[in-house]
Amino acid sequence: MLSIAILTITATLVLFLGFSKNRDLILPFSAAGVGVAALCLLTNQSLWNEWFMNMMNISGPSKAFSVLILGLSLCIIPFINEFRRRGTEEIADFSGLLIFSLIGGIMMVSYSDLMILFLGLEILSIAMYILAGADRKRLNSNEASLKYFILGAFASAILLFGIALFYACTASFRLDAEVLQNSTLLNLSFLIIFSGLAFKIALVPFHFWAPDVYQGTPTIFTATMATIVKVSAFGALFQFISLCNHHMTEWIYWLLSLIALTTIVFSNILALQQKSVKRMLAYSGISQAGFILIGFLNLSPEKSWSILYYLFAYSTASLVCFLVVHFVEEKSFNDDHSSFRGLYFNNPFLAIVMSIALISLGGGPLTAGFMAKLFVLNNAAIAGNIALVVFALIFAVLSLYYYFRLINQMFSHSNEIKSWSIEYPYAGILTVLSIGTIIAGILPNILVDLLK
Amino acid sequence: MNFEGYIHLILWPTLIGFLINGIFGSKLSRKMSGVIACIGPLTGLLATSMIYLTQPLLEAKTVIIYNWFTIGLGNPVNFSVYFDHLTVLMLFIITGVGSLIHIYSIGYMKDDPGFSRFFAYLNLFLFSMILLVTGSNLVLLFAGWEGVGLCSFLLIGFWFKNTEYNKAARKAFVMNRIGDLGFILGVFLLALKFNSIEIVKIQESFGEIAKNDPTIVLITLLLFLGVCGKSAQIPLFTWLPDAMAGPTPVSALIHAATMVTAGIYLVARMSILFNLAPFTLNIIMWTGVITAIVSASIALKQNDIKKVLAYSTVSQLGYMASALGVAAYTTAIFHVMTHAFFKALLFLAAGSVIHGLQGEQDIKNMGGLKSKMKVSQIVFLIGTLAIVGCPPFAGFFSKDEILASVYSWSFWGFVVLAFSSVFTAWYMFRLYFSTFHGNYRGTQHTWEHAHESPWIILFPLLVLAFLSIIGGFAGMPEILSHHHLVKEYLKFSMVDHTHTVSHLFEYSLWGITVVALLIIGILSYRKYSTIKKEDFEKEEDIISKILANKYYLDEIYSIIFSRPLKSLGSWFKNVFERNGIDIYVKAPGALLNKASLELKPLQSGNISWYMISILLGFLAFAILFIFKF
Amino acid sequence: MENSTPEIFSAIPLTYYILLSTALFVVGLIGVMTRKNIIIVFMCIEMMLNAANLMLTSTSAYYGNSGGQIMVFFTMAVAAAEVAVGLAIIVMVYKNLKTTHIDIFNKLKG
Repeated sequence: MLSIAILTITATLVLFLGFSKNRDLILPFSAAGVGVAALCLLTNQSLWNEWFMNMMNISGPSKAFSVLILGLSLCIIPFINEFRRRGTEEIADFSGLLIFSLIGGIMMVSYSDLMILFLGLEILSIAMYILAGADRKRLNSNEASLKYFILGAFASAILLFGIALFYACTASFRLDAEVLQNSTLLNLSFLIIFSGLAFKIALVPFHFWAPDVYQGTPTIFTATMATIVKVSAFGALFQFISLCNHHMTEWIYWLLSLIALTTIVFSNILALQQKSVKRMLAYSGISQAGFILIGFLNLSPEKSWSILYYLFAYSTASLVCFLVVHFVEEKSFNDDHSSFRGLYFNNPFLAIVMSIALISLGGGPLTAGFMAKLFVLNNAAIAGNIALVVFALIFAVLSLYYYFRLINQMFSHSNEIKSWSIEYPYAGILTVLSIGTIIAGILPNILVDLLK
Repeated sequence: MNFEGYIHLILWPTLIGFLINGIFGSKLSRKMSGVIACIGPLTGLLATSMIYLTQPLLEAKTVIIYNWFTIGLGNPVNFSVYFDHLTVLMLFIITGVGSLIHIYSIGYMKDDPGFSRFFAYLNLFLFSMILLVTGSNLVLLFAGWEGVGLCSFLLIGFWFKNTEYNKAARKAFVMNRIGDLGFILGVFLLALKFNSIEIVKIQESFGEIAKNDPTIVLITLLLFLGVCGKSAQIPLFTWLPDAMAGPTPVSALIHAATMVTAGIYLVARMSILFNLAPFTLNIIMWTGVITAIVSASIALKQNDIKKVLAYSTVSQLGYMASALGVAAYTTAIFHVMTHAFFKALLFLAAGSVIHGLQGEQDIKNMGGLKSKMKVSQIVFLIGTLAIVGCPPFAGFFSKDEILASVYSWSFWGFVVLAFSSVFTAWYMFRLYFSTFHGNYRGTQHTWEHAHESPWIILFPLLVLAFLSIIGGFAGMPEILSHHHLVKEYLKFSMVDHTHTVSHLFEYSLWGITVVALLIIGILSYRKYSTIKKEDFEKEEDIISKILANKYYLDEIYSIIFSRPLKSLGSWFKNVFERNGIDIYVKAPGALLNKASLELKPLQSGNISWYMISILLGFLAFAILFIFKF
Repeated sequence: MENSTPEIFSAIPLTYYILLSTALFVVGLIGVMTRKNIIIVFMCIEMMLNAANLMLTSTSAYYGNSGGQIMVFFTMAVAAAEVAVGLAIIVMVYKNLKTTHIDIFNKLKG
């Protein structure tokens, strides 16, 4: 609770800081606020013991989700400064909105009452609608913002309708409430709520917004969407499924495996022929979401760590990818595949961290991504879902094709060799993320023990 | 120093070398990069020899380095290495040949702008390869397996700036991925079946399984698909010749001596498993036999010095696979060893020639080089004699053993292999004579600049030549000596079937070999030591030309060898490889690409359509739910 | 609280409340998918939100449980925020493109 209060105060102050002429303070202040909030979470500092009459409960997995969200945002906030290079001075707005969205994210991963879920989702989404349109002059950014907004609002309306239906069945918003009405209607409401969450996670067939919006959004906020939003939505789904496990029939697992399968197949096939790297990464993110969904089969609180591990592996790697794409875009003004040609010769550092991240996304051994896939698929295999695992493996191998195609591009000679430089703080963040990816692959026990 | 100490000395120096060269490469001097890179394999070689000398290893030893992760219902998986005699032998090959090729590369790559990058890749490759042969569980094995694939992929594309390279690298990549898919699925099913991923534990649980158990057959078939990809067997072999786009030391190390034999190693390591599936063994043998003959006949038509050697590698891998297929695992590993010596030698010697001729690879533009490159010529000759199986060079013993083993299992397999031996002899002598004998056919300019390579290049060649001469004595057949060193050394690691052939067969095989080699040698000397450049270009007309010359021997040659061989070679090349196999191998990829393009319009960018599809998706799930499928 | 519910609310079966709000929701849904003007699409989304609100209030009254009505307040606040942001986005887009026709926005695709 204290951390949410700190975040709120920080965000508000940051917005006020935007009035001052000196803008150098904004980002350090934001980062400090987020850092303090994360520390409070980690050390269990709290002012009140009861959280809105137990409508929220940050403990166990939801704490891990929250820390992950805050950690990721700490890596993103410094990059907001990049907007000033392009002459956009409203970094206070961006930073403030980003922090507000974190509050939404924390609410989403720790709710036990659907009211909080809806509020959290909306706080997160509304901030993201604005951030998607941060580049007001660029038509792509406009279009992305509009698409995200219309489709997002549509999904929120669906989610709200599902919540209302749930309320109609139980006269309560608590997921562990007693059922008053017939269970078909209740299950239908679960299905509707699930659809709303699946939209945010971008699971096939609710994924259509993702590639378009990812492509148009300024890359730094694409990184936010691909990581923070996805982690929050998965946290919400996790809470949802683990809290109302007792209501659900076997059928929900059947549905989950079906969606996981369609997601993996569809997104991997579409990713093969993408020219825009951001789009390719968007499809890759969709397919990773399919893999994470496999982790939800035979879910139990003790097994939540495999999902969290996967989310950690996915979000660090994908954050690195998007940040590198940002730098490439800065220099060559588009995110085409061909812009990556010879990146190794322009800036070896960027090429190496990007390769590590891509290998991790593809599930290359000795990286976090490999362990993540192993854990998740192992769970599914124990649950007896062999066919699904086999399919997932086939498409995991297929996905290597487009990841390696990009690596191949980066390490081939290009005709013109330019020397690109990036500032040390940025390089530091990218290094930390890459080392995290490798350490988590070589010594996964450290992270697993933490998550347990 | 104790056993664990040696293990660390084998494992880590290459990784450290990779990190130093990879991160600080641009800041190091060339000399430093090279020296740092060489330290890794050399310490590995030293430590392996120490293990060989001081540790009896009568039983396999597993050394846990640390607890890696826990899987399933509390199964700890360790980062641990597994040492037995097979591991030690493979490590000798990897670090030994690896060290020589590292030294060679210092000379070969000395003017290359990507010097330190090259060595970084090379060290990473060695690390992955060491991981592959030492890993005690399937996950580590897989890590090594993928690691060598990645390095091979990066090194194939090391030089090229154009699409030609992209094609080669991509082809290698796609074919290897098909193989890896088989491998992964096989490993997955294996882990599922035996509920463990430790190789030792899996081996222990083989006892209670019946022969030709369907699951085992499926697992072995899937694993063999992986072997096909990595060890370039039909139908996944066409990437290997294309992989020759990389620098020559890479071709020698990765695409001849070590990585491509990883598949052979895998089958040998899992020999107990494969023994349970005679059905798969049969398939392996025939795949190997067919690969051997197809690629040997394609090699007859090649004019690029490295391509000939590449097809020859594929063909030799076919020999190894057929040895595996008749459950003569030690024989296969023995051939892996001798092949590593002589094929590395041939590639490096070819590299020395290419280096001396400023990058010329076409044998049409070579000839008469023996006067300019004495050392290269001699070592190339040694390599040639070794590969064609001329006694008493290394290849003779191992090849002879393979032929004998296959004979005791399947007569027709033996006949086909014998024919491919003839082909081997023919294309190798052709390559040798047309490169080093006769008159020079290239430009005056290159001839004047042609030079022998420096000593740093020649030294590894001499060592390998020495090994190619004596390497075969480690595995002499029964009639010569009662001590087959390789077999005795490996008997704790693998379970061979017994292969007995009569002494009479053995002697007659030798006799025929010697006579055939003599005839082929003389024939090809007459033909190729005096060949002109145009003759290469109009291969088809050559028959009439020879007839006009009225050489009786040549006439026989043209009827018995030239025409059938040439047409067979071109038939395999054009019909079989281009149109037949490639289409089937590429079909899934093409299908997926097409599917990708076909599905793109779904993502039309239209907001209304997106909302409709969300609704349709929801409705589909709701209907499924209501009817409770 | 149960006792304070007026008779009339529980006299009507719950199904009727649900059907009415679902009907309203479907009208919004169809509007969202068929209309071409962004403002109208947006209004249809608001209608969907209101359908949910209707269900919340009516069932809240039916059960005599105030939770649903509290939720409606939150929803309205959220909807207001959404309108503010949404209209701002639409205005921004209109400034750049001089149109609010939904089919214009298909440059990002594939």
